[in-house]
Parts: sequence; structure tokens; C-alpha cells
Amino acid sequence: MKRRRNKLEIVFDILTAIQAKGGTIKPTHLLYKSNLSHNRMREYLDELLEKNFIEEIEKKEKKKVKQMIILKEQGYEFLQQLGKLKEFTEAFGL
Amino acid sequence: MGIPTWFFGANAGLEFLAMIASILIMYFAYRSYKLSSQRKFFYLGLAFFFIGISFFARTITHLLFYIFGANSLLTSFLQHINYGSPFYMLITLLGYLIILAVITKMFDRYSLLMIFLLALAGIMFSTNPLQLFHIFSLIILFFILWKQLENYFETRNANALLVFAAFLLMLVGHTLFITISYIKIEYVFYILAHVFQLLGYGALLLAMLRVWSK
Repeated sequence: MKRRRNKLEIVFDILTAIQAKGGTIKPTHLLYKSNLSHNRMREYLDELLEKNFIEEIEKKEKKKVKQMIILKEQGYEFLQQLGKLKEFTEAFGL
Repeated sequence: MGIPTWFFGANAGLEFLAMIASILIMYFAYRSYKLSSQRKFFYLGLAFFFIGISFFARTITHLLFYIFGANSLLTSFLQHINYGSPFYMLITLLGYLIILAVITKMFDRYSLLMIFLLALAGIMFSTNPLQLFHIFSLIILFFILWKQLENYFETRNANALLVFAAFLLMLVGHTLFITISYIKIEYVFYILAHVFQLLGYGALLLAMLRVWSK
């Protein structure tokens, strides 16, 4: 059985999922990629919005308005730091 | 012990480099703590802080010994914190013990305190405290090494291999310090022990730099 992810690992997975999609992702895709319930993902997104790591925008496509999530500069920087932290943790097996 | 005179001063240099490596590792651990607020990083930093202090004590004493000689008042005072003093031994063991606790996730304070008190009692009342210190260090490092080997097989990560190699080198260093009492060419082993210790901390620092300087 896989162990439960901690908060930082979840944030890392969310930000990585956005980055993997070129920095812009649909909320439904993110929900699928981050493997969280809708409510839990909303909580994380609110926190990431508050910290200015991501931005929610509305994009018009073929007369439809779509919600998109964008990874901001601070988000990229934080993701980079988290990547290093992950490597540090793995190096020592912490 | 017949340590060659040319090594006085050089030992301070090697210890100084090990101290710098410990301080940098402490900094990286503290940076991780600030980023994540996870206490395990704080404790890892604390462990290397203690190890850094022990190397500082060794460096400063050996350096002053080299400059002023063994008979100066300052050097005789510094013998209380030098390599072989209870202060040096206990602070180093405390560092190792915290590393062991962090990587094995052994946060039972009573067990940790008991291990430390056993080491303290052993060192305070032994007829050969330095030898006992190296044996305690060897035992703790053996368990750290075991855990690091498991970690390497789990992650197959180059940095995990470097960390494993680092603790292996430190373990070899302590083994060489132990064997000094039993062989005739003790000065060779004494020098090699210093070199292995430095290589150990160097490998650990290299692993940290590979992670943080990207």
C-alpha cells in the first residue's frame, strides 16, 4: 500500500501537473492529475492562490467560457525549491 | 602516539575543512526547514551544528597547539574542548545520535536520552574513553549506514549513494582511529583517519551541492 502524501508532496504534485501542461491546466484535468477530492483540491487551490503561486482565469473558446489555472512566476520558483527539497529528502531517506 | 610533526597544522586544516562542510550541510538543512516547516530538517541541521562545533574545537586547539606549542596556558585550557575531551566526544555523539534519530524516525525521547546517558556514563567512567567514543560512533554510524543503504536501494539515486558513501567513509575513519591502539605504524592510520573523515564530510557536502546548486 502506498503511504499517504504529506501536504508539501500534494502541493508539489499540483504544481508539477500544471507545469507539465505548459503552465496552464483545466481544473478537471488538475483534479484527475492531483488525485484529490474536489473539496480537498479546492482547499489547496485557495491556499496557492493566496500565496500568489497560481492564478485562475476565464478563457473564451468557441463561445464557451472555460476556467483555467495558470502557474505564476512565484509558483515556478516555489516548485523549483520543492524539487530540491524532494531531492534532499530522498538523498537522506528522510 | 608518534604523530609526525609535519602533520601538526595539517590536521587543523583537514578539521577546518570538515567544519566548513558540516556548517554548509547545517545551512542546507535549515533552508529545507524554512521552506517546509518540517522539524526533521531542523533536527538534521542541529546534528550538523553539533558536529560543526566539535570540528571547530578540534581545529582551534590543534591550530593553537601548532602556533604556541603544548605548554602555553591557552593550549592547556583548550585541551578541555579538544579531540579526546569529554566535551568533544559527547557533542559529536549527540550529533550522530540526532542524525540516527532523524533518518530512522526514532523520535522516542526516552530511548534517545537513555542511549545518550549510557554513552555519557561509559565515556566518563571508562579507563579508555576515546576508544569507547570511537566504538560508540562506529555502532551509531553502522545503523545510519544500514538505513542509507536501504534508502539507496529504494531510490537508486546518485545523491543517496553519495550520502551512503559519506557515512561509510566516516565509519572507516572511526575504525582507523580505533586500530591506532593496536598497531605499530599508528601515525599512518592517524593521518588516514583524518583523511577519511574529511572525505566523508566532503562527499556529504558534494551531495548537498548537487541538490541545491542546480
